[in-house]
Amino acid sequence: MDRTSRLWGRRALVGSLVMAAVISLGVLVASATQPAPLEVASAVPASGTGNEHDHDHDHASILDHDGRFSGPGDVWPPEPRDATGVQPLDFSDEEAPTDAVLVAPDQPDEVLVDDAGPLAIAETSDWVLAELGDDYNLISASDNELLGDGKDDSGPVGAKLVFFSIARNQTVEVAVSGGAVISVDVAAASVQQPPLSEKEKYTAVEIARAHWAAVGDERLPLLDGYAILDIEADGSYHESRVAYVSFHPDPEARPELLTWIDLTTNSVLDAEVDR
Amino acid sequence: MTRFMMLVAGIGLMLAVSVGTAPEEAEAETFFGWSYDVEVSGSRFDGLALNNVTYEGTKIFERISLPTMNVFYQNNACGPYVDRLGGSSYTGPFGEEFTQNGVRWRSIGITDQIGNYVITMIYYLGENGEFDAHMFSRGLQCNIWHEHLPFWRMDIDLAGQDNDQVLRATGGGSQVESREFSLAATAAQNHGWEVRDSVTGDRLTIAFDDGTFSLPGTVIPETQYAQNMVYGRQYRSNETTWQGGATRNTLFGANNETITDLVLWYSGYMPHAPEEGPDLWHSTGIRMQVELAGDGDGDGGGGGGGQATIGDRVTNASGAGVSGVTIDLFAEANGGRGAWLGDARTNANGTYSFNTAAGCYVLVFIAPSGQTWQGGSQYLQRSVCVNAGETDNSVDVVLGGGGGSGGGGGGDASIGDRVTDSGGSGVAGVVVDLFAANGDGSRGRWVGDAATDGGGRYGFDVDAGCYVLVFIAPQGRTFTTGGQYNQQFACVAAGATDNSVDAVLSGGGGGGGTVTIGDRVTRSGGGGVPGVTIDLFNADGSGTRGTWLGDTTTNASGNYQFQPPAGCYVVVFIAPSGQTFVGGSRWNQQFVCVNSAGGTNNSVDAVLT
Repeated sequence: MDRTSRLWGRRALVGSLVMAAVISLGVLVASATQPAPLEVASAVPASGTGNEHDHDHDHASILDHDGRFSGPGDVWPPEPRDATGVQPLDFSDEEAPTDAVLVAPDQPDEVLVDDAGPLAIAETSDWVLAELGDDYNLISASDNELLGDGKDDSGPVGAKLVFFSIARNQTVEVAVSGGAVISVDVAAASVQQPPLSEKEKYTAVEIARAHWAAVGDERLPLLDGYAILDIEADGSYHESRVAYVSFHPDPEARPELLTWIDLTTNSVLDAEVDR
Repeated sequence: MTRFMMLVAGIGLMLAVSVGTAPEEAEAETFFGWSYDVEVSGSRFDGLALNNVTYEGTKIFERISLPTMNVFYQNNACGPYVDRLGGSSYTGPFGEEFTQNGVRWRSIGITDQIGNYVITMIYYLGENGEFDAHMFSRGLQCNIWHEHLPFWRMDIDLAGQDNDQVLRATGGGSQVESREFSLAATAAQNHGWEVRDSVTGDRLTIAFDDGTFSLPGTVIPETQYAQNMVYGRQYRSNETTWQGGATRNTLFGANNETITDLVLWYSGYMPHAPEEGPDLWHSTGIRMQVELAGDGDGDGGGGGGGQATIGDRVTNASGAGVSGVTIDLFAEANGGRGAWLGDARTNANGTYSFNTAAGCYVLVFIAPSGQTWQGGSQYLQRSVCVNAGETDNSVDVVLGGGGGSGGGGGGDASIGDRVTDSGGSGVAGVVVDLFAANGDGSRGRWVGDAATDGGGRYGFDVDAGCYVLVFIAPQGRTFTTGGQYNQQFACVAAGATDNSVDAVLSGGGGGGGTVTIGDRVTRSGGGGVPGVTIDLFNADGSGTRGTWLGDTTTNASGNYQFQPPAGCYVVVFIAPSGQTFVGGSRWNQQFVCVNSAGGTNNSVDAVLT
């Protein structure tokens, strides 16, 4: 039996253990799933050092650390080797919020949404609500996208919002332009799912953490959880929203606790101690 | 220009959400001849995309992006996964400009975290028309052997969306793929893939990363390279990003449709064994070279009537001719490449020739895919001037070597010493090639190269054995032994160090043989500007930029100074990000010669707007 079929066979058994350990809404997304801070890249010229060329290419995709880029253990992202005249690009002037949606980074409990913004328009549209139902997550939003079908710029410009509806068990993509919803596309969970949102990651990690706490695993306080969208072994999507959560002592350590979470029912499908 | 923002969702949670480009407000980013728009779409999840990419005014890509990286585990013991970048947890964009091997580059990237995977995708744009789409990945989601398959999507509109042909190198030439196809990358001989506009002649050659793009002598094993796939597809508006689960091939099947608007998908291959650990990063990518056709009128390099001939031979390190090598001919303009005039290929003996009008020209030799020229570059540029009726049969080049494993670097012995001028001063930037020695002491396989540092020192870490070292004098200079090349033989035992392999360049002496080049960078109002980077390159007498020698930055008063050996140089000033020099460019290139040791030229200045 492969991992997936075994996983679904145990779904009902394990799921009931941690149903109660679910998250209250209105919480800032946890740092448990945030990427480690990027190190500031610094190029270290090494002129006068020979480049070596007898590296093992049995694993050719491991980039030769004596090649173009700095090697493992150096900075992340990898830096071009022997680079000189390095000048960081400034993107700061491209990160300013637009007027479409307001932001309150220091007040995460307050919801500040532009009443005339695309999200507010979508969430007050009967067309959209019919597909979302009363339980859904916003996965992502983009503003000022070309909404037409072709390559030219003649189509409408507006916002795209991607939701996953738990109530309807489907992906819902909404286009908003000119102050109105202009299209709503849906795909069943088994056909198409977007990546996990930060909220879903947080929820999945907390359910998994509650499970391992109930089991009494003493390592748990020392481990960080990471969630990723899980799919079937044949590459297709699950019938519902499933996350795989692995717990690691640090971001660069191997996983020690493995957990599969059904985000539709907020339950544990399977859990293993890695050996 | 791109905008990114945080969005507070109206469902009780604060979510980090990216917001894409505003098409009506887009202001293209520029770098040397490149122009492009940056986008991280909040709905396509195709990572960092570059839109409307042009080079020297010619359209190259409508969009290049990374719709997914699919991950498969041994025996399906974990995963698979569909890793979509640019969702709610990415960091960036970030980037920088830098000089590597004498070429100025700009990088733009993002990093995303998907589960325990940390994934960085970066585009590198080179001043010479190179474009490199790269992927780095680390992390270990499960303790099981697995493989990552990143899928790049390239909507190629070379000189517009019409007339783009995919050419696949075959034994006797190239095969045009006019209909949709799905092929292993190895279906092109020597990995020779190319897109060409059949009307304009503009070309985009496509090489795939074997981990050693800029290094000769190594070739990825065919057994692994065959894992890389190339897909030619007709553009369809509903196939612009990934729309399904984890597959090993692109979701969008080949329908045998004639391609009139080309989209090229490329999937790379990155295996990861658990014993390698989670902190080892993997990488793969695609390097492309834009080669724009000229207007064909020969302007900029002509001069005088009458015909002349330019040619010679392309050989490998063993001296054997190399057939099928492409050489592009450009008119020389302002010391650099002007209009493209045509190309030629070497015959079975490795020889080639151009019959052309008298004048000055630039030849660009393009190494076969997966190989490089001595010195490490895939592209080698040579300048030549010919008079009417004259034949110049001296423009020869040598490929880096045969590759393979064993011998060479990484061992427990070392070879090195110093390159000096006749006055004993170290000379920086001299390239030293290292070859394994054959049994008779002749040059064998190319092993690597090094450039001397500021003190003229160089070194190789090698395995015990015998080697041939070839010192290459900077353009316009010779060694005291005579000639531009100085070849020496050395053997080292295990654990031994031979620090006696030196070379002496003619000239210098008296005052160290150096000269002074410098001045000041100011604003148009007159104040000095600190922190401006200035690159120094060797130059030939016509002012063509040669080997990169080093760089410096202006001090608090805006002053700078180089003290190289007597000779001719190209000085390149690089304006701080977001600024330009008078005239509107971010780069200010100047040619200067100081031929007498101890001489000074303190008038090489630049003015920022």
